[in-house]
Amino acid sequence: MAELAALAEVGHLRRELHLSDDELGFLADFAPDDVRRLRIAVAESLAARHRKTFASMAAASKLLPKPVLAAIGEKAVGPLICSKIAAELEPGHARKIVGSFSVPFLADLCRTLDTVSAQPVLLAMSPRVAVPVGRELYDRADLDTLARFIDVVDLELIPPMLGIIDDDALVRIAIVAQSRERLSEIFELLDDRRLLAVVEAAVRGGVLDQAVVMVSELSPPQVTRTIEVVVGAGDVLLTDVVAAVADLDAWDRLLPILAALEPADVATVAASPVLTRPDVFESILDHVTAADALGHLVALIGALDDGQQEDLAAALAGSSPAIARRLVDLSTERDLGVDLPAVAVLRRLTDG
Amino acid sequence: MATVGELAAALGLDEAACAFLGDASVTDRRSLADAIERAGKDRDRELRTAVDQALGFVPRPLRGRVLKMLGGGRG
Repeated sequence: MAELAALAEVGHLRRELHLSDDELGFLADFAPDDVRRLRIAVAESLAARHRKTFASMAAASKLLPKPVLAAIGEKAVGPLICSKIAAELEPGHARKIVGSFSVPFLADLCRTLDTVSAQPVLLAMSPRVAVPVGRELYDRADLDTLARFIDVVDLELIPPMLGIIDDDALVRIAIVAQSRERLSEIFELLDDRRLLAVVEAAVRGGVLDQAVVMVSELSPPQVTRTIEVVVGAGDVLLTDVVAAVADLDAWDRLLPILAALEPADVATVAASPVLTRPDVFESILDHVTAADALGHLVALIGALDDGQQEDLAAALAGSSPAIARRLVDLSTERDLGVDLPAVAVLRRLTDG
Repeated sequence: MATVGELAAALGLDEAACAFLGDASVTDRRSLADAIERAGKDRDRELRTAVDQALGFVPRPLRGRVLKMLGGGRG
């Protein structure tokens, strides 16, 4: 399945090239970063042909009264060319004239605005203008454009936008957004209730795997907080999340963080039935072997009480004796976790 | 325009930004190249029309100055 971020980039390229939704679909199978670089190169190449004219039009706009500018923009020039001129405006001038344009027109203009070259202009926008435009994009369900803007606008715009955007939209915007730094800032604005709602929205929307990748790129304390929120939500959500981590084979990022959680939280994660799936346990063993990080797995198993460890061992030995044997051998070889009841049970079961 | 290098050169694109298109089919590369070329021509035409139409909104006393600032913008 193509990633949301790649689909968003293809959509943006289509808008730049005036194409319909069924063209250039092949690009969605490539990495989002590759499509993004191509999209930026295409936009740059097209804009370079007329940059002098765009700059002249931006300069000429200073001569004209605001109502005339609005009429020219909306009735003669149109949103695409206006978006190119906007990137050439001085921020102070942009701030003065932007309020003359209608919100729907500004939303149209945003669809093809280069958020990198136009960032000084965007940063000059007051919340009075920018928030209604954000709401208009949200009402149109144009989340890809919204994601590009959330990446670059002033941080003061984010809280009012979070009040407008629902959880299903927020998780998609977060997945598509490029700036991990901005994502981290947004994360800090979410209370635990909203964070949980966003994770649940990811499950509901079938994008949990992409959300897990996105969260794994946040800071360790933020990943820890997310796991704590998920653990607190109960077994169903936790099972979904652990399964997504397993499918992504993202243990290298997650195991060290899991191992550092409160013991009760570690035990809750360790008790997840997903962990006894042979493929999942094997991927964990592969990771701890390659990373010389058996301690993380020992901490995970060690958080379970004796009864739980014996159940885990029995399930593992029953479903995949070879993997169980690997754990016993690894434990002996590294002299780590040999005293765990789970390992003792595994040794007994696999020796037999 | 069979190779990525030829596509990049013909369209004025950075070759590094197109390198991944080496894994795309020739047909897909050609459709992309056609789309970019068509968009360039459309943009030329739209810009000429836009400038001509915009001048119609400019108050007569300012029209000369604006036209001079735009220079070759109508071309």
